[in-house]
Amino acid sequence: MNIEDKDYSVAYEQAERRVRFTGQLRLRSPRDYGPILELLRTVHAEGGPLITLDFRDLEMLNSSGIGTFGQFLVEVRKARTTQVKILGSAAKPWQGRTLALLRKIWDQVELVIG
Amino acid sequence: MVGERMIVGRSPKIEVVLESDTVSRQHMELVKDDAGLWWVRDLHSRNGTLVNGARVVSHRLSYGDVIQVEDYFLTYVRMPGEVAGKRPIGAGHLTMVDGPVGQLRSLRDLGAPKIDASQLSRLIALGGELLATAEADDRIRILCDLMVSGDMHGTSALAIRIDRSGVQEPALLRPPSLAPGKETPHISRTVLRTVLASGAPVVASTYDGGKALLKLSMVMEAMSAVAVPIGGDEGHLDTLYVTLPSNYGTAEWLALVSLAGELYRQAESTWVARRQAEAQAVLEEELGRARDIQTRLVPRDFHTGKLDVSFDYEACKWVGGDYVDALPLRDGRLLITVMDVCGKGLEAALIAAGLHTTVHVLVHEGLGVAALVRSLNRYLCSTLPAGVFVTMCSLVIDPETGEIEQVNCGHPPPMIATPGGALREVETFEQAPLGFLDGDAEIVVTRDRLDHGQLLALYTDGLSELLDERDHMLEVEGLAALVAAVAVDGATSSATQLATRLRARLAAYRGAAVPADDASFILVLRPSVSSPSPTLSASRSPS
Repeated sequence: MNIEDKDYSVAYEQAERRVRFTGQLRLRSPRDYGPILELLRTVHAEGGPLITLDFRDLEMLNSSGIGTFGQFLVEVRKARTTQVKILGSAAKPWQGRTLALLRKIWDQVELVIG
Repeated sequence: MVGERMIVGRSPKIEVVLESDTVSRQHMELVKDDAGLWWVRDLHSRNGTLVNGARVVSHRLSYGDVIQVEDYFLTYVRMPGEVAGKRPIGAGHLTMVDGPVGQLRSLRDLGAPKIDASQLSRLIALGGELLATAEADDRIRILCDLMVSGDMHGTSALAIRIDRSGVQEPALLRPPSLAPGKETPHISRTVLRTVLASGAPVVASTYDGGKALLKLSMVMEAMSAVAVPIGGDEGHLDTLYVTLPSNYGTAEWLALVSLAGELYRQAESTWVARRQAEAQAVLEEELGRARDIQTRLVPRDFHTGKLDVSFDYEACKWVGGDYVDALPLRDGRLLITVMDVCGKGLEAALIAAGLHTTVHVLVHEGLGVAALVRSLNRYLCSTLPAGVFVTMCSLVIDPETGEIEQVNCGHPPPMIATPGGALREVETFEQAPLGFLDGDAEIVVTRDRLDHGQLLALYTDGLSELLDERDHMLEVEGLAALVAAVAVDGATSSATQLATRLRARLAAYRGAAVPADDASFILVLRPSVSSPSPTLSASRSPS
């Protein structure tokens, strides 16, 4: 399960249950993030105790993207079957603030900014 | 067909003679029954009689049936006069026929056409006429009428819509244009199928080098037909179908009709573009009015003597999802709010407009900042689409003491800058954004203080995420440096003047880069005790 676009890519590494985001996520509206949300939902539906969202190679995430990931976290939180780990890069200052916002939506999220 | 019975076969003594050794002498007969209906009956022929590809012994004929006797194909059709008398053809109805149409040829199959200059001149005039005719029905009528004019020699011209899936029968887009004394022709399915498959103009003629194809009274009169695509989409193809005298099935007439069709297509494209431009102009006018209304929702800069407040609001599109506001509370304090609706454009602007109304109603009802945020969150949770959220920083400031109470829901913390150039963030507890905040969650209020001479800056992330021409982001640190730089003049300048300077510094950073996000800020200056006390006044924010 991968999504490729000229500005970004989303790759699912099934062995590690990790979704890796690369490039710039600046889609116009939450609707445009639909395919990414569906990919995340599919990963969640596979089951398993942990999903890792790896943003370390992501250069940009706009507010519609934050909303999409927030929506996914709310769904996972309600299901109560899976934990979520978020990886960010300290070299990208925006990630510290933006990814912390996701943790505000669900305080059980493990946030690692390295 | 005439009489009550017609025998078809090889014998020279029967009604319809088919010259072929494989045709039996009396192969089959056509018989009219008491009800006036025609039947085909095989007369125990050696090689059989087929109707629509299936061998038959006896079969009642329907219009369009194709009878095959060896290499001969006979199509049972209504005569044009009969059709005109019994059921006039209007737009949408056609009589379709199958069967031989002669060789089908495209422009590629034919030699270079020799076109008369006067005919080219007429076609050029057609282009101008089509571009000057606003009604689509009139344009297609002009095209069809030209085809049957003296310039083009057509006997009929029909605009036919062909369903690409084949489920729907071909249909007329408008009544046919007919030369004087001519009837609406039967339309060849074979010609339409060919133009549909190739997408290119084709010509067919029942006249081939002076040797007419089998011409029977029950088939059709000899003629040429040109079919040219003139429009359509994934579901259908619109075709100009022109019938001409049989000896006009040449490269010249195919080229002329094709040119006319192409001019029509170009004119249609031009009209589509013109209509889109007109619609876009109307939309932009409406968006301009919406922008004007949204700009009017931004408060004017004001000075109370105790506090000096300036606002800046800039939508990256016509309208935006940022919200800046300041409202006096009943106890004399001031509620200052900045919000950022997720996303941009019209959708975000509508949500922001709803927030403006809701905040004003709740403040009017006397709600404190925590209750206000809780109510807003409930309202948004019940109205926002999934995945849409609002970040918010709402603070109450006491003009007398500078005491600040703040509730922050996922919004960048405000900054306080001193005249000496120092800068810090306001004490903040960042909660989840509105729309994601749990309805039962405790709303945490933090406290801080704005001292005399200090400048308080609230902003949306369109400022901290401002990109320069090389796509470098300003970041919070960069914005803080700009705010600190303008705050140095706080003792001698108004908030409006400081906002103008901050705006200029942001514009300098951005350069020629196109804004990617809405960007707004509020500056609150608590004048120094030694500063001259300005009188209460208000002015419209320059933005």
